[in-house]
Amino acid sequence: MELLYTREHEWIKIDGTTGVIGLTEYAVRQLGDITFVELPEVGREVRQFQILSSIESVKAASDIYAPLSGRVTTVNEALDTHPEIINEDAEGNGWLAGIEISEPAGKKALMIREEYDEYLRGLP
Amino acid sequence: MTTSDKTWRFIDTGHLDGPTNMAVDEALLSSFNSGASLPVFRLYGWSPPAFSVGKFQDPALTLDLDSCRAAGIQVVRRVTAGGIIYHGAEVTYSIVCAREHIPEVRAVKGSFRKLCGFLLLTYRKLGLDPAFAVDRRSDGIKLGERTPLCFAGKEEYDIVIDGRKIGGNAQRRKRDIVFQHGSIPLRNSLGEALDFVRENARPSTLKEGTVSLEELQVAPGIAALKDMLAASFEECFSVTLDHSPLSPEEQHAAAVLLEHKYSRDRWNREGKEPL
Repeated sequence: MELLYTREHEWIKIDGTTGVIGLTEYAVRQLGDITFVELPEVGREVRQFQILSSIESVKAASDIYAPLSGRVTTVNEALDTHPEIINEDAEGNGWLAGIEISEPAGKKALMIREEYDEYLRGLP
Repeated sequence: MTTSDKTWRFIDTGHLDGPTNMAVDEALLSSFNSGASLPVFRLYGWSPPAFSVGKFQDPALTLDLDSCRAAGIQVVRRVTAGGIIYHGAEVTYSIVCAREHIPEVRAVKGSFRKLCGFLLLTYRKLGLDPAFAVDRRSDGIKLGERTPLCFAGKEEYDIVIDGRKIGGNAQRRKRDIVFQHGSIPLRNSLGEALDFVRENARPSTLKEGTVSLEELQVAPGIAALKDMLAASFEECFSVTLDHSPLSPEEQHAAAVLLEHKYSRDRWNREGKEPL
């Protein structure tokens, strides 16, 4: 199991050829109270760092980006009725979607936790 | 980087119809290059009046779309979140900037406080006493309820005057770019709007919960109000506004968006991007 992060504050937990994607606690603190999650369609092909889905918080619509390329295989349907789960447990029960990874080489462009923490410390 | 000694583009596109207004806003957002573009402050109006719908909303749940169509009231979807707004007699603004232009925009809530600062300053110059709803919580204002009609609910950083909400503001965020637009109501048009709102979606306290400049006995006129907004914007962010019309590229982008997205039910009603 491998846990990697993007500069746009998504995480991906990789197990073999599949990955589970979510937002980091830092991202969720910046977003505030989440009121709606637009989940991606199962079966959709997504490209690394391109839009995976969108999220609404405090009248702001923010894009969420795919950490790796792949095909969406599952989505967290609980978020349809309870988007606040992301505020409560962003890096656990607040996961967004699962993908079948098509280009694992993209991992090289992601950060491990120590690198992500260092990146956060460098933000203004 | 601070916001001092910085130039922003100022674009006044006058009154346009709803789909064109939203196409221009998206064209400004999609053409913006955070490393190279000047940040943008746009003012505009709506003619004819129209409803705008939040990016994630189903307008059919709240509006009688057949009545809208029969009356020639356009319903257009925004790229921003929030609820349905009726755009009648108002001045509308939009802002496109990157975090490097205004560092305080990183967190959503803080960004509303920062970016709406010029609105508060304008209202103060008009002799009014505006505040963010969160700062007047002691007045018994209930906050944070997600409502289909923008004016039916209050968020922490909505602007209130005498406990009543004035205008509405919403954002779109794409990587490090922040886009915000919002309204300054000259007259309360809710009476006109409610005719098109489904009965089961009409809140009972809507009119009492909102206010316009006319109801506050303030009538600066559109041109004077625009001048005040621009001056307040410069003052608030320590920037200089430079008159700069839409570029040919932006005009082209807006025309393409108008034809393929904002004139289409696929986007306006169903919320789906063009094929």
